Amino acid sequence: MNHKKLSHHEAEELIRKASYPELNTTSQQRIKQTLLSEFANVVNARDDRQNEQEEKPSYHLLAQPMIPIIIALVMVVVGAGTAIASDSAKPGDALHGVDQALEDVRLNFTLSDTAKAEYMLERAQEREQERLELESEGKTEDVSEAEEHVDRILDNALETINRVRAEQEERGNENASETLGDVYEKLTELQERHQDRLQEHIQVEVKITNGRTVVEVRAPSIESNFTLSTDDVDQIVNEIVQRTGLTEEQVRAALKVEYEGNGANTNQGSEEGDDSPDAEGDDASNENSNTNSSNQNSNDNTNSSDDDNDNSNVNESEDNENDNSNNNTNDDAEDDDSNTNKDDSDVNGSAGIDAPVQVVAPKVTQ
Amino acid sequence: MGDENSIEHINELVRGAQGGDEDSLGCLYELLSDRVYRYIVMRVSHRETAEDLMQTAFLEMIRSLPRYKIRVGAKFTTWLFQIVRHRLIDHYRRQKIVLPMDEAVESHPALQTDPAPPDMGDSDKHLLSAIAALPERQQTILHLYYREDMSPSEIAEVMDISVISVRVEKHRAISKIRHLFSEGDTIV
Repeated sequence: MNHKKLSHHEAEELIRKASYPELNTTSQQRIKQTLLSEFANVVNARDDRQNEQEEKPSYHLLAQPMIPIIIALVMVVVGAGTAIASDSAKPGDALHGVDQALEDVRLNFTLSDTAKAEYMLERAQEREQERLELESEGKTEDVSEAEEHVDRILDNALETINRVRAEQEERGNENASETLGDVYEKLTELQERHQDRLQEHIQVEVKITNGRTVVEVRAPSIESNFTLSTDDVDQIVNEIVQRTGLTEEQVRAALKVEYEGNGANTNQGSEEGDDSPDAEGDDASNENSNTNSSNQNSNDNTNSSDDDNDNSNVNESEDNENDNSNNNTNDDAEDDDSNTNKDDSDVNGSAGIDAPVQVVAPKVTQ
Repeated sequence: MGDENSIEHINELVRGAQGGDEDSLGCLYELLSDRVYRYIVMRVSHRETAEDLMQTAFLEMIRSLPRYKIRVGAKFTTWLFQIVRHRLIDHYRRQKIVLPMDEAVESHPALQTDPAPPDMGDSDKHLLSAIAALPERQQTILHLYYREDMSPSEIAEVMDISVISVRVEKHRAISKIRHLFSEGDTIV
């Protein structure tokens, strides 16, 4: 049984409205009783603990500062084997989830933002080390996951430090900007190394042919192929930034531009089918062509793997300008064009960056 | 989603449950059980397993509830789905299903599969087959985005990945759904 090819919007609507197997009412109630029973146990245990603490106030007050230490010790004793084994667990290891959970617990028990930032620096350094080990072991998938961890920890740590500094500034501390200076410096160095490593894996190839531009972007977790009508490098860079989430600096550092003749252009056009120069068509059909029609999907699978089909709109905003659009794909194309057009002013405004553009001889792409 | 599912209403129930109110917990469970079940059953395709996992997840929710902090702008369901997803991953590991996140869950022979309910339309069956053929990560993102109305940042929090990865994988998933759906393949 063959089904017609769905448009992006149709696929979304189907997913939203699909029927799912329902929870059996009897099972639902049975589980509810189990949960309520456990809930009663938890509440009773909590009440008992509170009663005990009330009966021994002096002991409680003495114990208060010790609670995080005691709990940490209990964790070590009870979960010693698992905790120790999991502490070196990297993405892809069986105990990686345990390691993550323990990290979160330790972070929650850390009492101050200062200590949190220092702890996060430690974790970021460990994650960096894990990433290097995974890379040397050739575990590419896990490397990507480790990179994401480094990313998140760095973001959180730097945000924490900025928050601490802002609070200190509000309190009138003249040296607020130097608070946690050592930690901040190490985090910044780590971030630079992280960005450098990411940069090594970023490839941005642009082929310009008589006003038609084919763009291929490859980076960790990003593969994007799409076509534009402009041959203005600044506009192209801006479009890449919009679609992929890479920074302008990253794109320009990795950018390679080829200028090709008419023959290559014709061949590309025929391979890609309909190629309305301005439109980007369906969100998902931007592999190597700009298609206006929702049914230009012969291109979806012709020239590239599924991975290559994707990510052309990875930079759609959380307002879901494309995801929840009720427009057909022509409208999506218009949206994309409008986005591009809106960016023109920004591009013009920020076109002062003159990163060198590498121009290379035509080469075989993967 | 209606008022019952509003953040404020759920937070109110959470507060009640944290205070030891059994009725609040019961209401919370009844409000969220269908949603949690739908998420799990599509990942394991076996009703009894899904029910067991759902119970495990809610039990963990109950035990972790005292530590949960209601924050402005944060959804309780985001936290709950984190728990649910961790339980699912534990389930895969216990079953000794070595499942790199790129692997399609449904392709593994160790997983039992229930037939689709008899009252389910052909279109739905076909769509669910197509979704089941996706890698676990993409299935999760599609479900959380389109069925739970979570934003990319909330999904990123549930799955502990970057927002960019969420967008990228969502886009890939939709493309694959379109491709699989058009070919008429029935995977399950």
